[in-house]
Amino acid sequence: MAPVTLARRMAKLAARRLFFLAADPKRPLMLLGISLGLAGAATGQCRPPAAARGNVVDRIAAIVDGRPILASQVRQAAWYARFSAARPPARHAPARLSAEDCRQSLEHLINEALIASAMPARAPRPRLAPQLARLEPLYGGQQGLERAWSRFHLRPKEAQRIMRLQLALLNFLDRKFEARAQPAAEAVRDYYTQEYLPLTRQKHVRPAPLAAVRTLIIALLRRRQLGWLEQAWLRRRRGAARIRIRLRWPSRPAAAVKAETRQ
Amino acid sequence: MNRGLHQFARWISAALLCTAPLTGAQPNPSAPAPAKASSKAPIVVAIAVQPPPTWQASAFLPLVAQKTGQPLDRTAIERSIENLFSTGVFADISAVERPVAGGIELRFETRPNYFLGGVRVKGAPDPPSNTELMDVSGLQLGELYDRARQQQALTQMKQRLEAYNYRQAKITPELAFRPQQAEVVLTFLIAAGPLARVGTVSFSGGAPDTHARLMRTTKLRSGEKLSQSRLRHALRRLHQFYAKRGHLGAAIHLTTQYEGATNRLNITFQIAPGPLVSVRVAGARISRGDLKKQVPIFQEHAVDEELIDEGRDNLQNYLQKQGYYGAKVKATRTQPYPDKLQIVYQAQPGPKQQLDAVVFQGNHYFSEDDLDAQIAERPNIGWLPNIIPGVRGNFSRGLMEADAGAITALYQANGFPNVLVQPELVNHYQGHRGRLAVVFHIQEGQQWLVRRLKLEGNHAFSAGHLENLLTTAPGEPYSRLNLATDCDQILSHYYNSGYLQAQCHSQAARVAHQPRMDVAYIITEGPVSTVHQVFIGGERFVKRNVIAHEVELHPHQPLSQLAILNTQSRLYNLDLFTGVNVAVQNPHGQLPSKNVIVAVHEASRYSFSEGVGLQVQSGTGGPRIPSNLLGQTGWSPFLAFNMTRLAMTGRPQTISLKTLYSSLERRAGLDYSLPRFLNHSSLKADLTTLYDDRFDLNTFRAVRRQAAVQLSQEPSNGMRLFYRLAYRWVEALDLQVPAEEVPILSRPVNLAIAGAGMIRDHRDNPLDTHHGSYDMITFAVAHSFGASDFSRLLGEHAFYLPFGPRHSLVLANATRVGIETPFGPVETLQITNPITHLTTTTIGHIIPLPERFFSGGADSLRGFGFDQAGPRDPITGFPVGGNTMFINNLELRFPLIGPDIGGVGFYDAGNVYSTFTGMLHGLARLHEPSPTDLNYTTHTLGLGLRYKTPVGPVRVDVGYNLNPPFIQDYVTSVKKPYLQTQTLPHLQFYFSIGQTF
Repeated sequence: MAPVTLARRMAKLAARRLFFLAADPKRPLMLLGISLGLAGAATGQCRPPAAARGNVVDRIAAIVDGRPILASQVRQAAWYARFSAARPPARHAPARLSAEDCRQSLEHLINEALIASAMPARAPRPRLAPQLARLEPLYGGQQGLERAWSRFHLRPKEAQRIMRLQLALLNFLDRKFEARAQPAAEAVRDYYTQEYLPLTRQKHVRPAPLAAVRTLIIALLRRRQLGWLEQAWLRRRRGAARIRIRLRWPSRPAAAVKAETRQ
Repeated sequence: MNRGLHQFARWISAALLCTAPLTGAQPNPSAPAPAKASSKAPIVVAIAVQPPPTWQASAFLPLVAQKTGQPLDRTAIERSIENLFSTGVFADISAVERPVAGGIELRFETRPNYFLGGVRVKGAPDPPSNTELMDVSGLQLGELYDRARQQQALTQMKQRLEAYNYRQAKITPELAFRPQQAEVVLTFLIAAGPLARVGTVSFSGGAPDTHARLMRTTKLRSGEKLSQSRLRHALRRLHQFYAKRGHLGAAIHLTTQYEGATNRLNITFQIAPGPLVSVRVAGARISRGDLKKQVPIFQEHAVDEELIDEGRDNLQNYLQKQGYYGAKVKATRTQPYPDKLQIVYQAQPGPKQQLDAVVFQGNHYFSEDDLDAQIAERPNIGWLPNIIPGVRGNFSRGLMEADAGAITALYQANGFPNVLVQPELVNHYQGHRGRLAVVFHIQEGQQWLVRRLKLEGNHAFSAGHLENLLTTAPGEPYSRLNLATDCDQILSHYYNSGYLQAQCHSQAARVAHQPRMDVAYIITEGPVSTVHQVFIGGERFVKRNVIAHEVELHPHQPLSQLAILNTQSRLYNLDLFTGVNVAVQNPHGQLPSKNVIVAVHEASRYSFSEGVGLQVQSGTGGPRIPSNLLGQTGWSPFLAFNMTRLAMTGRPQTISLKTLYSSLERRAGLDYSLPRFLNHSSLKADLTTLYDDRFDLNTFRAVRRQAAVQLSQEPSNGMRLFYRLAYRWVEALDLQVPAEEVPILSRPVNLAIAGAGMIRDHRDNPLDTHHGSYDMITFAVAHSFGASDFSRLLGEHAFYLPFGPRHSLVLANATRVGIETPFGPVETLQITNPITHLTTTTIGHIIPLPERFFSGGADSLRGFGFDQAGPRDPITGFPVGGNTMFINNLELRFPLIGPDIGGVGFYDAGNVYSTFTGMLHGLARLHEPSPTDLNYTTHTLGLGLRYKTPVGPVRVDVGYNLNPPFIQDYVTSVKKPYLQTQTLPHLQFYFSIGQTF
């Protein structure tokens, strides 16, 4: 394997190791990367508790600075996360969502609400066509994609709404912080010597010279800095926000969670 | 597998693997499977919304997007919940379905929000006061109740208490829920605990040998209580310590460390004395005191370029105001040694000049008087050169520039956007050296007028209706200021009609090549808000219907800002409350109808006041001895005690007790006041009882007991009508009259009096009037049991005319006329001459002595001692009062020193006359016809000093009577009685509080 190719693969793998958002704006957005880093682990039932009489169709799950997040929105987002995690063509969907799915999805929606409230009212609406163009071939075309969504209980409009929102939020965050995400030359050198070279040794691959992989490293470090800045900002916003949780999913003992994880 | 797909998948899974596991949970077999998007949805047969307290479900059903007869649509459910939530009245909403015949019933189950219905603070140590802590809490009436906000408020109050050195304060919130009104009343109970005490006091910086002296300067001692003001004073004293020693820029910082176990505050003063600073002025004579006032280095205790420059500008203005209109000042700063700094203000005052004239040239649209009213510059008044402060000319270059700006603004506001105003300072005006004139050269330019006016977006009000509110109209001058004012007027009208979200902006476009503008006002009305319900709270003793009567907001009416303000104003006018708060509940919710909260804070029902005073004047009453015929100069201390109780029977009725005890008078009066009598807002009833024992008149001592009922009404601002019924018992004792008169005059008399009157008071300030007028007329008829009946007519007219430079002089005049006409049974009076022993018989009406007119003293004729004017007994010579009175007081009031010390020149004319005919004849007389006929008019000139206090001016008056009366009396205390005549003294002086009229 050519050293540069290896470098490229390693750079991308290293980026994926990070638990904040990936840089590539062409990919479908995964803000879960940010929010999941802040969420805890739990398991439990996703459906809200049943009312004394009748079946609860929908209800308020949380209120963020006066804006409600509904239980149905939490479920939608959780199904979308499951869909995104499943390998294309995503023929097999789980029978139901777990409580952990819903808790993490709620955290994700809270973060989305906080970011959305900071966005200007007239932010440009992102175009979905490029994203869909990349996805559809993975699922055998538009029909395949829609069938895959349907398996995860998502209507096309709902899925596209989620995609569009996440794209808009990520674009906003990147524009907000990109000017500050400028890795210094020392940081590039440090990454090369402290992370890239050990990785090549590990993989028994001859390392490419710094000049050949500099661009990749800079992109990686920019993405990393952006992630840190975005996380810090989000943490501050969460601290200042008024968040009221109306719906909690019960957590299960740690041992049970560990056992499930091993499965 | 496609490489990109593989990458995508690995990337996604890697991101997820870094966090919590997303393994499947235990499925709940009892829970139904989530409906797939394409499943057949059941039909909604019925929809219900659980409303919060005070609301009906019908207010919320229109917000539900799901419709009956339609399949259950989850998107519609989502929208419905969001719409319901946006009303702001719900804390939680669940959409619940229940199978019924034919489909499902959809029910929105809710939990209501609670709103703040009252916020109170009790137990604050003052300082800080309850009000200050409530302000710091930031909690607003009507806002959503939230525990986090409550905690935040508590923290802020605690921080404020700590700033005042109450470091162990405990605050306990108390909640009182009112579910029926969805309100919670939040009370913070403050237990401030002890003030922190001084721990150790240390100094860092500064010379170590001065630390002991600094310690004494701060006046802080270990173990003593340490209030915030004490610490502030300590810091101020340290600054003064260093400033006195020339370290004007000493930097002193304070750090504290609190020891919780001992409640002590250890204080460290960090001192950087800085260099020795000297500030002086060269080239002009300015006193040290004035220098300290003009150069802010002395007050700010800091030395920097900004302060030095400010001092330079202040000194320049100061010199210009002294008449050195061309004065220039330059500041130089030198540091010959590291520890010495010299600041020298080099002044070039130039010649002293006088502003002789302010001239306007080029003005056609405005007259000189119009422009003169805009400017602050004033030329010197030549014939009053600086005798009277405030008359001196007022000029400086800064003023000249400011006045040019004011004239420009005036023209621009009247349609002259291109006006040019150039001020010019002309030396040697009209050839006189040292005389200046300011000439304003004005190029008005063309006046722009409005060609067309359009209103857009108004649906609730017609264009014609709104145009009546506007200043701008076709054909009127165009001005941006008018556009802004008009928008404010439009918005004010909309806000008062319930359109609380209305917006207005103006647009103006010039007509091509013409000085004409087309103006449009674009209005966005927004929704109209109405009143849903009014909640009243906070009252303890006042009846709720009393409060409700004053509220101008009613259900289903527009939520008007004006009604809110008027409600507040009317409740304050009841004089029962120290705080009235009117707020909208849930102001940010999207419901068109709002609940309104009226929260009151009652004043203390009981109030007490005590007073001590002193009256000093000549001619007062004293020991009842014949030699005290003319009265004596003396002083009369007095004690006063008053008690008032508000909210009698829960209504705005007041009972008050007023007592006075002095060497000349003892008085006690009880008054029960009923405003809004019989529910008429302008009608007031007063029931009074009075006991009065006066011996300030040396002829007799008057004891009076009275019960009275008075109705008064205020038909308009400044006008009051009153109707009075009184029953009075009067007795005159210790009479200084011939023995034959004593049985008649000392007889107790019962009087029943009916009267009416009118007062019209248009004075700007009753305690110290500068302009306006005052008119009063009363008429009463008295039936006396045991003496003559009589009628009394009393009238007064006063006017106050300001004039002169800046209206600093006031010409004030008051004329009082009183006429008593006796009728009914007559009395026979026989008086024996002690020398000739001849008896004179007089048959006539006898008005009881205490009911006659007396005059003389600080508040009437200042050429006489107290009540010394008018007819006198022909035998004893003591004043016996008269049936008519005429008094005219003319004063010229002027400022003397600063705004608080003034002077008065006065001329008093008049007298008390025995009869109406006697007054008519006596008005033109300068001397009495005989010592027993004192029907003539006296004339007094005088001067006085006035010193302004918050309760009115303290005054000293000296009056010189130009024609005091000759009086006669018979000295009967000797073996051979003899007749003596004497003249009342010319000179009288008075010391009192309040103006004469």
